[in-house]
Amino acid sequence: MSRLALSLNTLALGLITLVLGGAFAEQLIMGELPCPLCQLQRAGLIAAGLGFMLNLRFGIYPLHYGLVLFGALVGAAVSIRQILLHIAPGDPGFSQALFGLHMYTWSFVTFVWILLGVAFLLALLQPGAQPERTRHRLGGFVSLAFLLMVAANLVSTLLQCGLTQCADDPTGYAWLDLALSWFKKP
Amino acid sequence: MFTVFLLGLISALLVCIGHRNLAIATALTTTLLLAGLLFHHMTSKLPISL
Repeated sequence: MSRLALSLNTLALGLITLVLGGAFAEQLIMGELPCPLCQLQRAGLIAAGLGFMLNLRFGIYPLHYGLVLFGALVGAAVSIRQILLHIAPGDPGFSQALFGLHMYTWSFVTFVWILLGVAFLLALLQPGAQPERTRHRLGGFVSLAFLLMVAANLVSTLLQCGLTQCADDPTGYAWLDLALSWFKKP
Repeated sequence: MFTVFLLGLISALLVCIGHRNLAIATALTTTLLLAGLLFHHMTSKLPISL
């Protein structure tokens, strides 16, 4: 049972990392820069992922699942906020739709799946069982990938917004443009 | 805006190097900060910028 729970935690963290990677793909390949609410949803995924990372590193504790739930709930609240901002009839929504749903709607679906998944994982917990710190090579690899994704999000946010307020409808990278303008100076 | 990602990165690094309690504290702070930023986005009542 413990091995199943560890595998599912690894799968969950891997899927969160993939979703964050997908968001980057949309940003870098399709040129859809994230708005402030979009970035907060990415942060919600990161907050949820930290709980799974803690399980893989230190063993499975209910407290870690609590952190996942907290992060997913706040992330879901951000998604709902953005859904409601664009729910009026005739509103085209923000950015392109994927299979008929905008990214913030898919983000809400992802958070709901995380909440349901944690409910299932909590049901697997055996009362009184001691958390095991088992070496899990795949879990280590996935944790490293998640860490790199978090770092990439930090760098991307700094390049896009700098230390100031992010634009509601972003069109470029503030710090990147500033750096390029310095190089172009005669 | 970058502070929430910075805190998340610090928490992830603390997990990697083995500081469980600090990692949990920073992870919790990350989520609380995220909730605060959402509150500010909805109400603009906090003296900060997103």
